[in-house]
Amino acid sequence: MADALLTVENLHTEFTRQEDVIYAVNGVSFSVAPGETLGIVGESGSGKSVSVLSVLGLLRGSGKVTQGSAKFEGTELLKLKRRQLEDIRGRDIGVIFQDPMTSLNPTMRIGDQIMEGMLTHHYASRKAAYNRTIDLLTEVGIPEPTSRFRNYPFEFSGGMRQRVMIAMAIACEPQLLIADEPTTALDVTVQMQVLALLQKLRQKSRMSVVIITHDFGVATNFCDRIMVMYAGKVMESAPLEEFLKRPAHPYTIGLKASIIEVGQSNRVLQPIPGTTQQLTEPPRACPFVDRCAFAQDACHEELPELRSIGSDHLVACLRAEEVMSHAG
Amino acid sequence: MAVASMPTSSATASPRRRSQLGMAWRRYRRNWLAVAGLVWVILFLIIGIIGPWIAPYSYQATDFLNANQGPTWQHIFGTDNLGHDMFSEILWSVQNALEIAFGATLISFVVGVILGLWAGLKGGAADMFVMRLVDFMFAFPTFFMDLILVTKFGRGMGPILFAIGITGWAGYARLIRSLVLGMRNGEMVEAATALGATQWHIMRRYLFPNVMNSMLVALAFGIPGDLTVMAGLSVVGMGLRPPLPSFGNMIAAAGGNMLGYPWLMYFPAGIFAITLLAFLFVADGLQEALNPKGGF
Repeated sequence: MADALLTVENLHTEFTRQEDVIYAVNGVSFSVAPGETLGIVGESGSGKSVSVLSVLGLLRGSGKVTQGSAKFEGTELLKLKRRQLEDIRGRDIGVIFQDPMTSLNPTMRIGDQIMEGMLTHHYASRKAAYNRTIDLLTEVGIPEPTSRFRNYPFEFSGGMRQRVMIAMAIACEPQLLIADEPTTALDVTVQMQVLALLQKLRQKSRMSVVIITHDFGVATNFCDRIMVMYAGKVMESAPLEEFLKRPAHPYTIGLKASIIEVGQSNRVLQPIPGTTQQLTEPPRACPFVDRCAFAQDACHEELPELRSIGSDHLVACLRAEEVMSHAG
Repeated sequence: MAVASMPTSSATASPRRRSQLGMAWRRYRRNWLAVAGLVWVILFLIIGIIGPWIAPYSYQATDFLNANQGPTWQHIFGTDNLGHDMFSEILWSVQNALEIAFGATLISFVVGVILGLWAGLKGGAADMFVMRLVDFMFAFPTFFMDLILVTKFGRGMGPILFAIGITGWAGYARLIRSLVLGMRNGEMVEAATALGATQWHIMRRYLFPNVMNSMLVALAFGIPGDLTVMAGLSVVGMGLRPPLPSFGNMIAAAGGNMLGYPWLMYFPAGIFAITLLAFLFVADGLQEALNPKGGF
């Protein structure tokens, strides 16, 4: 896509440990169009968070991007200096994290925390920032915003804190909002409220959203396009409709078969056998081969490339066509 | 009717502002020992400031005719072997004790905070360097170091203050470093970074206020510690040079005549002990009150 907002190409990220190297992201490419919502789905440790954090320069510890490019509105993010990156973060790209209980500063009033971003980015004057904060609090559904402005984080419940985090993230009207497991730490009813809020905000402001989740339900309810990751590689990527109708990767099918849905007590849950492995060396064969029901000899030897098997439908599996027909 | 009106009245009756400080004070108040300690500390502070003016005699005034007297109306705490009025001596000592306790603790604190923040934030070689220095300070007998410094620079107010201050920073540095390390890689800092906060901003608005509670408690525990060290120097004869009065000097001088003139020991030692306890109670109360998870 030529006019994509964010284009990530062939991204590689490694974590160096004392005794070995963890290859967390191994050649991930994706793009987000303006106004589009991309869902990145995968198990714990599949590299979905790391690939996005790499792009923003938020890797912790020994994490390092070794290869690849990430262009945001034509600017190469991976080559920016820290100072320039700080200008983009929070202003053009907003981020929401998983755990609202520990992400807010306990010693600051929440209103001040929301205003802070606008003031550091010179987005608004103090007076205008205050007014916008009140508007934002109303918008994210916090009642009595003028008095809540003066409350501290511990006076809010988890769902309310996540709303505050969202208000902080969208304060400067970013073009791209990255939500890293925004609902994982919340209970189910609150999850839906927070998702509905994100949906509303997205429709209103036409911003692009990247939502990272391990919850298939969240992704399918919310996204225009879904990308499945495993072992730091993209397994499958397709628009929602296509993705739901014609899944073409065994891992995707496995994920779908292992979700519990309400009112399906007669269906047998089928967990994917085995667990994800720590990638102490870059994958040479299909990383999913040991857990795959469709595995053949060739799968053990060849690393499947991400290839197109239909309109805008990419998959990294040697036997995608057979898988698709089998599933359909 | 009554049931329906109840909730509205209680909801409108308490629009009270709840500030961090107000809640800390409410928690502090529950601990009566801490409150009593605070009263004594405040009294001590006031005496430290106005003591020299309300003292009935100068600390240098001697009354040889009434030396070694027990408590009388003229000298309510008695007199020592040179005829110094003990009550006046104690009032003057409070000032000296406060100057040294606060001054020395402040020096330790500032050095400790700067080195601790630096080590915790930078990590790597800086951390290594600071922590080895801390290890050295802990391993080295601090009191011995104080003695060396005081011997070298003299027994005045300034040198003693400096000596105690410069040897006591290791604990603060270690505490603040561990607190910063715990937060540096935490979600809070990550979230702030993700929204574009600079390192300096994070240090100022996020890390510093969040370690402040613990530091305040450490500070309150540090003051009685420094008072004890100061008295300890006097006991081995390296405290404030007489005739400057100090609790340590008085207690050390009284020790030899304990059986003959016990009031010379009772009053300074008693007041000194109560003061130390009062500071400890305050520190203890602060620890409870400033804990953000302490409830209401």
